Amino acid sequence: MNLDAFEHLRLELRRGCLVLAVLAELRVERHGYALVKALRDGGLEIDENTLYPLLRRLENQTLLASAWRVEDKRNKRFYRLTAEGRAVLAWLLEEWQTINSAIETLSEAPIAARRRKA
Amino acid sequence: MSRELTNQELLDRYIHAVKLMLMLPPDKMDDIAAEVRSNLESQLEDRAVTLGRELRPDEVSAMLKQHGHPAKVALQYREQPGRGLISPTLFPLYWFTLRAILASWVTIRVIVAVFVFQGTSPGGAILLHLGRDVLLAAIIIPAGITLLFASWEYLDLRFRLSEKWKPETLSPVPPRTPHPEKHRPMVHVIGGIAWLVFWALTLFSPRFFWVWGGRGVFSPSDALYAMRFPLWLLAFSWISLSWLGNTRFAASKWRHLLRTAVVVVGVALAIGLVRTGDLLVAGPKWIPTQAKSLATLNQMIAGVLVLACIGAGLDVLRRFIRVIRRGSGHPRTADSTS
Repeated sequence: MNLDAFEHLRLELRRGCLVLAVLAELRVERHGYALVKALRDGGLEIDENTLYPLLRRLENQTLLASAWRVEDKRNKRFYRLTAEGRAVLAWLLEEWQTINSAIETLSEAPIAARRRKA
Repeated sequence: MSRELTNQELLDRYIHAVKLMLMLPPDKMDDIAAEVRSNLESQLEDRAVTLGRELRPDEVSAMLKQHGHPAKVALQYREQPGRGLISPTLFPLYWFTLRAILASWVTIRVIVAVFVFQGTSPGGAILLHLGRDVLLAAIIIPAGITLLFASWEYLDLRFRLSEKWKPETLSPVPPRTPHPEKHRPMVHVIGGIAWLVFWALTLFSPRFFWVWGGRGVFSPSDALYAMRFPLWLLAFSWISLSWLGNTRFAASKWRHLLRTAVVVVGVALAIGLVRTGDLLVAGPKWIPTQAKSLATLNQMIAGVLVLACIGAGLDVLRRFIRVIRRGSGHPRTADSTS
């Protein structure tokens, strides 16, 4: 089994999904570490060194807005989705649904069935 | 025996190391460093709450190590792929070594020249040989040292990205110096005035320097002598701009335009000078055996002028692109494409 190829493809697949998950979680304003925990609680582990640069890129694309605020006597940067970000998230979710149902249809054993067996 | 670092010191060292390796403008570096610190503080606090006690320094060290080497963290934030030849961490040592070796070499060369030429050659011969050797060294020594440090940087980065590093061994945070850059314009102005005086004496009173009491072996060419006034004016404009950089004028758009204009005129004059041929010609005490040295010196001067023109041209182009990007409201090109 080619583990390297699998790992590479898995990372590719995750990259796009992470953007979607981050945008979805930031419909509610959160600071970076709270976002890491929210994603982890939702079943998606993310390395902080991947998350923060991603947040910065999304902010540069004006999909996110951020502000420094004091919470628990410490300065924290809070992120939230912008109006443009909400619109993009809606399109992405729609796209995600389309891809998901297409994959289920195309694959011989649908993902849901595999999960049930597992 | 070295004392154990506190939790705060470990964190400060780690953040400082990340900041040094970011290689971004200061405002961005501060912003990213603040965010990395905020995240780490939250993690440490979370861990302390879970354990129900304060974390020990070895636990903080382990968490920082798990977070990743500062170079690895900084690499994620870099706007452009790849990295510089010499990182900011190594740059102070590189810069110190380069200056120390160049200064030592010039000092030794001057002492040797004074002893070797004393009483045997005309005074101007010392300048001729020194000028040639200093220019040669100004190219060969930086090239060699840069190559050495670039190799070290490459090997060092490989080491740093490996698992052998420890947060305790990161450099301590240096004490804050209030506005060190403020002294730089003063150095420019003082250096500039000295240069202007020298330039004026050299070009307007050739007897003072070139002929050196009738013992000189070389003099400025007719073309160089004819252009003495524009050259002096150019040097004066450049120094004035340096001085204006210390005033409110620094914030003005005109400063950039004037700077660009001075650079463009300077490049035009330099090209004009190079095209006229040799800038130094034989003086009254010319010795035919020194012909090769004078020719080499002229070639070196021409080479330096060409390199300066290329550097200045690239600088103007970079500023021009920056102005256009700002004008079109382009946010951060590299960010948006990555």
